[in-house]
Amino acid sequence: MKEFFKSIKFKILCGIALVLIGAMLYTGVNEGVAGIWQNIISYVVTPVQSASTAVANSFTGFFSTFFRAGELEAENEEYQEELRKLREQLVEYDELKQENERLKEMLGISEEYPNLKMVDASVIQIADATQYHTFTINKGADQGINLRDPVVTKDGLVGVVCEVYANRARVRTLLDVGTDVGCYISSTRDVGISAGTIPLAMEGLYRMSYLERSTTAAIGDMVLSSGESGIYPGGLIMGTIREIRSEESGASAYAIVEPVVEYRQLKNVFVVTSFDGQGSVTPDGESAQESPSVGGGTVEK
Amino acid sequence: MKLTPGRKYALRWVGYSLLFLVAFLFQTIPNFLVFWDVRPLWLIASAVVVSMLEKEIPAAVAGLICGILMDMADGRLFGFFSLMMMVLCCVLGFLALYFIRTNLYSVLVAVLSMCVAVCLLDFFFFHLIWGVEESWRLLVFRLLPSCAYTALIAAGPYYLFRLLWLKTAVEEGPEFY
Repeated sequence: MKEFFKSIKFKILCGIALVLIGAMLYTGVNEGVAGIWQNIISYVVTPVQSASTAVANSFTGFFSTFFRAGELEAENEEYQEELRKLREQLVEYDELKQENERLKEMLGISEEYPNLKMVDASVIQIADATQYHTFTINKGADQGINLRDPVVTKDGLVGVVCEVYANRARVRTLLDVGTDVGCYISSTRDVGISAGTIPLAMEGLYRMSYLERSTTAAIGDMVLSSGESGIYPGGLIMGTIREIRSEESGASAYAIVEPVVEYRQLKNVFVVTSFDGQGSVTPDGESAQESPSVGGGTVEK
Repeated sequence: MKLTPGRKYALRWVGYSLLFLVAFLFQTIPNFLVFWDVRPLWLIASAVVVSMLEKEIPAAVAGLICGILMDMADGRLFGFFSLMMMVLCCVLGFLALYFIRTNLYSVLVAVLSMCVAVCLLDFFFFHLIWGVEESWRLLVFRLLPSCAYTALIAAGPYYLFRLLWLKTAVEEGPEFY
């Protein structure tokens, strides 16, 4: 044993340990920006990973039909019920159409997101501790992706780029404790901040905090990004309200929000590399990305 | 063709490297063998098996390689898993060399212990000391089940790495029982 501690091999191990500590310090200081060694490893593993994920996805897609038969049947029943409700709602559609158009225009939403410049990417990896569904995409700095670029699908906002390598990037979802997004409720215009918590993330949900205690928001109302920070474009759909609860202090309320995106099934995303109003407010840090009025308020129409 | 010990040893490490890459892919492919959001930590299982087959320095190298791949996979502070795995695997290599017989049962216990140690350190440094609300749920419902799941699947990597080790055996390392 004593020989080992005196050996040259032990000294080499100590040297490697020091290098690793240096790597940790470098990564800690340059948060989210990959070092040269990370990029080298990334160049090796990303192509292999992309290929293996594509193969695995095709297998999963084939076999999931059998494995998920029960689940699909339940889903089918749910969709049938939803269809019935939608048919009823169709009657009201004409009346709401004009108002809807006006709201769409006001919120700056269009199906094609014309004000957004986007890069498409595929999901190649989901983090090990999958409680927040943090995932990795096959595009990085080489394709023009930067730290804190928003990530969307056609359904709405997915998350934000939190780590950039040369040819890959890691995306933090809305379920993450560290993702704060300024948002508002479409029906009431109440503003708040969305962020994840561990218990909710385990159920695939997150919370929207700082709502007025007397909020009139209801279950099923849409939550949209406010875009005030300059980090996320405004008007992107983030989720629907599942429940509204009072804070323990009783001073305000919070909503439990169900994301519009099914993170488990996510295969392709778009990274927004530029949009109108980007960077209009410089973020001071992760938790100060947005600055809504605490205790509630409304978005200016 | 009879291989020289040096070539056998090199061949063994080429095989190890390929298996580590496969373990990395298994660990990172979305939804692959994931049940209730719990997935096995293939890289830890692989590192532990190699550590118990090899001496302390190769064990540390195996821990280092798997640690770097885990850093890539998990997106934690780069170097965190590498450092931790290198040290723990080196210690495990020592234990396997002098105190523990390498067989399926000891490997399963070692995999479980290593997973628990890594997960507890990960939980401590990235959740507990940051005061993340209700972080215990993460430990109870995700991390510890992942450890148990990893121990359950560890027999696969054990027999695979053992086969490679036997096929490329040179006169060194612990005996099998």
